[in-house]
Amino acid sequence: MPKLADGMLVSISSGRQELPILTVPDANDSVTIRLKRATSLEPLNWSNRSTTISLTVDASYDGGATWEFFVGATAEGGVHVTRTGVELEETTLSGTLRRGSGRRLRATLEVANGPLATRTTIEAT
Amino acid sequence: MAVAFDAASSGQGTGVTSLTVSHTCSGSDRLLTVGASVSAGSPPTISGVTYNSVAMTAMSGPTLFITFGRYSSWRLIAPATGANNIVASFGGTADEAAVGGISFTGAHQTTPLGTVAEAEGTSTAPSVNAVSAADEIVVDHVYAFNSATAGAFSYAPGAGQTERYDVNVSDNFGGAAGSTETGAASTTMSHTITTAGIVTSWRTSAVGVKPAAAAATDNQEWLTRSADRANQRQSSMVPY
Repeated sequence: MPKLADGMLVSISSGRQELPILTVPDANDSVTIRLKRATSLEPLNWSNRSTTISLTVDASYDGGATWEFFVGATAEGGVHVTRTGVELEETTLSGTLRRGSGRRLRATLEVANGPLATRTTIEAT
Repeated sequence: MAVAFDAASSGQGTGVTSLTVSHTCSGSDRLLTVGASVSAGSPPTISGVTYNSVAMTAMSGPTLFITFGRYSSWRLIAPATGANNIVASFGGTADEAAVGGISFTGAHQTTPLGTVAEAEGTSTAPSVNAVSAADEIVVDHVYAFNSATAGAFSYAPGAGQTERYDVNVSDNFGGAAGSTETGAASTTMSHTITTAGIVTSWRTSAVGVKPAAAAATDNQEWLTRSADRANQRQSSMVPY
């Protein structure tokens, strides 16, 4: 499972943040973006429920010459307890790319009511 | 015109309040179907699904099932061609969420669907029986989740079905799939779920997609007009 990006915990202000363009290996088609959430152990991460992220991922199939929308999601912050009684550590978003060479990814975070602290990881499988 | 599979798309997330996936529709007499489902301790509502910002019509649900799941499937007649976004919006944060789209060409543009069949259960063998016809394609959308122990989901479609999408939500607590099969008077749409998790709950729906008004209608019109012309010729003859 190659990690295309493994960011540090950083503070992100309100507004639009574009992550660096990533190259997807030819052998991998499924892509997962992970954003660290607030938990009891890490309460300072994205702790405010009213702080929302709109995550958009664009894909290029020609080495970055042209781009098209791939997947997106919105999420709100705060501690979220799942039905199994554990705290959700990450918000994730996944999709499957078309096969081919020269594939690139471009992720954009749109933060409202920030700032927030999170760590972004992008994996391809 | 025969109904035919066009394209499929899918996406999934955890801890999200909406999901968006790109789907490309092409051809004529188009129909788009979408499965959009969530699971959580208190599953959020599924407030709607749009394609290219046009509201889709619910085929099944949104329905709360087995306490922790909320299932829905949707359709849109004549969706815009080209790459556009399917957007599923939820009324709160979902532990797991999955969206899958399957589009068709050659679908009837007034009454494209038969009766929607629905089923739910707790097992690794979701199954539902749809009433359809030989000139139809049956489409299903299934969603399942584990309540107690995580275990990555994968789906194997039943005999005669073609899997169009197969999604394992990345926390390994949920998954979705969609498939198609040539219609028959009674078509069973089933999947076998492989998961290491326990207590797998599922809900599914299936429906026959009807073909666009057949070219035979044109032939019928031509025959009717020919018969009319023949009658006119006969009636204009002067009897001896």
